[in-house]
Amino acid sequence: MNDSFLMALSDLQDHHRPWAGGKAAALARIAGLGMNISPGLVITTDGYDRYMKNSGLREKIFFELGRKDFKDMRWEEIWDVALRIRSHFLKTPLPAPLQQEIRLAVDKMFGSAPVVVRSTAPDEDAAASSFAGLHESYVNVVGTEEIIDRIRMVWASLWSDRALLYRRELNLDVTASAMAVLVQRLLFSRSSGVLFTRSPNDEGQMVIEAVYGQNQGLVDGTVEPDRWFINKLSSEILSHHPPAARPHMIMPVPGGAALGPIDPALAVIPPLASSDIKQLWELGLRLEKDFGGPQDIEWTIADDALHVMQARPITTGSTGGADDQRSWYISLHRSFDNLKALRQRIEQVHIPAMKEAASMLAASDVEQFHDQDLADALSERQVVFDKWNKIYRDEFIPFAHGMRLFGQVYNDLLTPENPYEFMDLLKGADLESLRRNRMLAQLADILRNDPALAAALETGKMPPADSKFAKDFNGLAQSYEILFSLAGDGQAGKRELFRFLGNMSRQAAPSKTANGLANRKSPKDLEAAYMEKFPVDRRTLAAELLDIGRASYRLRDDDNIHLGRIEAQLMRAGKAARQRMAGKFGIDPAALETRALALALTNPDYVPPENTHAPAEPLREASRDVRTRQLSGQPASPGIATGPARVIKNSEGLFGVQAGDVLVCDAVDPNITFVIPMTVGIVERRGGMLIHGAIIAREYGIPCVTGIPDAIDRIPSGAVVTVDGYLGLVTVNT
Amino acid sequence: MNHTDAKATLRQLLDSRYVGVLATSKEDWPYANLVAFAVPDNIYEMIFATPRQSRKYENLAANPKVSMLMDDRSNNIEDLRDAVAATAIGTAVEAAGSERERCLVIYAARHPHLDDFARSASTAVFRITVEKYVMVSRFQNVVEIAP
Repeated sequence: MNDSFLMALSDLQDHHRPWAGGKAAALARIAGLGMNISPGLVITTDGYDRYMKNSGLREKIFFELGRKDFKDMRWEEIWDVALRIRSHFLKTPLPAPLQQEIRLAVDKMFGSAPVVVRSTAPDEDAAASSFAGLHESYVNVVGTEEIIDRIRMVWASLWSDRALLYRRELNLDVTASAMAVLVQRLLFSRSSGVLFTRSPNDEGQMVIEAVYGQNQGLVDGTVEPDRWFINKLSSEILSHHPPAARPHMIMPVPGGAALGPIDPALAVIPPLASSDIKQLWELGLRLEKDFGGPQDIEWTIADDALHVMQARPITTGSTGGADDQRSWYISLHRSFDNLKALRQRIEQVHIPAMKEAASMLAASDVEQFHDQDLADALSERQVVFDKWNKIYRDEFIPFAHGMRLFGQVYNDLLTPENPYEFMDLLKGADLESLRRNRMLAQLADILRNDPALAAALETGKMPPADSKFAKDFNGLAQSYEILFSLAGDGQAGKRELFRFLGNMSRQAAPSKTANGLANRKSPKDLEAAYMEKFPVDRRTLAAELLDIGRASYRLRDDDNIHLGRIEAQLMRAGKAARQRMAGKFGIDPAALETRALALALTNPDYVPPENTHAPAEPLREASRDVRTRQLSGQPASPGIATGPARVIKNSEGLFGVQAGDVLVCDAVDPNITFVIPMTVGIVERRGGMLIHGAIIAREYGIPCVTGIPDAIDRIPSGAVVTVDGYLGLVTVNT
Repeated sequence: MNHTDAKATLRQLLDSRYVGVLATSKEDWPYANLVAFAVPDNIYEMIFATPRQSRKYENLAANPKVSMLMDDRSNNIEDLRDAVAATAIGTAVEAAGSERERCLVIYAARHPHLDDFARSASTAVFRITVEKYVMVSRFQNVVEIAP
């Protein structure tokens, strides 16, 4: 492109769209039609490219994205990539000459007037792919340096997890993405809203939604709008749907926009007069004609004049396919208020209810039930477990976003060298799994000090019922029954656990100090540095954010333990049923699922399906002449450790873990993290910093590498491996 | 990359490269230079030719242990993601008699324009018996391929 990378909106032509982006090009065209827009400046994709090339950011982004095939990344890994890329942006100022050019242009056009800094990506707003809501914009930014900072943050949002996921969904080449930025004078709006020139339900109607104040409240759903349906041909108002009340509006406040109360006299009057509606109708018809199709138009009334903020085609079939995915990606980002409500529900409603459900189920002596009652209990337990499993997916997992929200705020404010520094501020909570592990460690201690008891247990004897060991062991059994379900049936399961405790007692705890923790800052210092970044009147909010982050960190682990307690009761009833089934059919009752078990218990003629288990995956034939030497994943907990690989393919191998092993597994669930204190390193298929394996590894200061897709197939059990938790590498010693 | 893919990727790399970097050494001094190589169906065999007056020939006479690096880098940032490099480690022995003729046929099939050079009386034809390949992809993923 021959023009400068800085262009006034008024100078833009249609052919600039590939550099200026859809939003800016559409606004320029609207201005050309004689309609009002707020004056603005576009920093085209050439400016973005100059920043990328001259700052070395392009290479850094490429490196982050190139570590693993983008298609193979789970969303947690994409979030991590996005976090690291954002951190690169935060730490990389614009090169001085570029900064100087932008500074001059911004100064000249806006002086000290407040502005809005918005994205205008070339592939944004195209009819086939709507990026609406995926990139960031900043309202009420004042001062040249502040504006330049925000421009950089809008560029960074091209690489947010949402934007990355969406591009992958659409099969767009993420490395070829570029972003233009639009800076416009902020309009102090009397009313704002959205106009759809075609109602989704009736082609002959337009829909207008309007609120008092700035339009952010409407767009993000904070303020409920008035809604009008208009006859497209005649401009007649067909219906008006006011909200239940109009208590709030969004208004500019220093550094942004915020919800505030409405003047009570205004609150009783709709935000649009009929003359405004007529004017909007005319605007809609005109734009629809000029752009050649139905439009979704954001508008505002400021300085007594109607202004267009944005116009884009209404995406055809906007209820289907990629658009649905897009709303899901957007939903991954929960608002602060939403998280607060979610936390309250989880802590005050769900967890007490889960505890109660688990202890109620634990109280029934299913082993003594008649067949019919046992069948009923089995089905009931399945229903209870399914219910909680669904709540886990729908509410507990989204609450993990609390950590992410805190991480982003922390990184934006403090720009730490290590983008995961914020995790050190979250950890240290008394996790359920750590409490359980302490109980196990205490039992191992008893054995260490009582060799006679240890030897007796080794030979298969049970501990004396009134001994401290037996009492503590029963306490463990009551609180963490899932351990026993994993260990096996009845006495055999107990012996398996005794053996495990025996192993624990014989080994000195692995050293957890040599893992580079010495240079890390204390959580107290981190917290003080974080709080200092907030002005005094915003510190309550800062503390609340930190609190949400900590709760999210803790609950992410605890939730599974609570769910595990309910699952243990389902497994217990299943176990009782299977014992009765033994020898009844020609097949192993272990292969029967709950439903088949319940039917088999009550119907003597029941013939179970051939095999209710999914067929085991055929073992991949390992080529004998190819050996893995090094695998690259994500560094998830710092440190370096070497030890024999203990490859865990199912829970059976868990109790064989020896001190000094490197745990290699598919996924670490908090219900199996009791083995972690025995290990020196963790390698996991699932990727990301927020997965359980990574969290528990950091709690114990054990190096951890995640996101190695076929770790359990590629690493031979028993091979000596080195886990490099700094670089995310696993090396098989050959 | 799974194991089957790894072998296919190596074969593809060997078939697509004409030249590799041969490392020899003498008296603790490593020495690297470019050579045209050929690999027959058996990937654990590599053929190259060198004038008997060359430094590498002198080195090989003193120490037959070699390694050879082959890669498909383009010298662009994309290499981090896309480039594959394989290092062969093995022992080089000068071929003589019928073995020399067999090697020359393999070499000429790959580098017809170098046939005269290879058949020259002053050129030595070497056959490397490869003990293993170490192959790196995606910057940090490493597999070893050995007979």
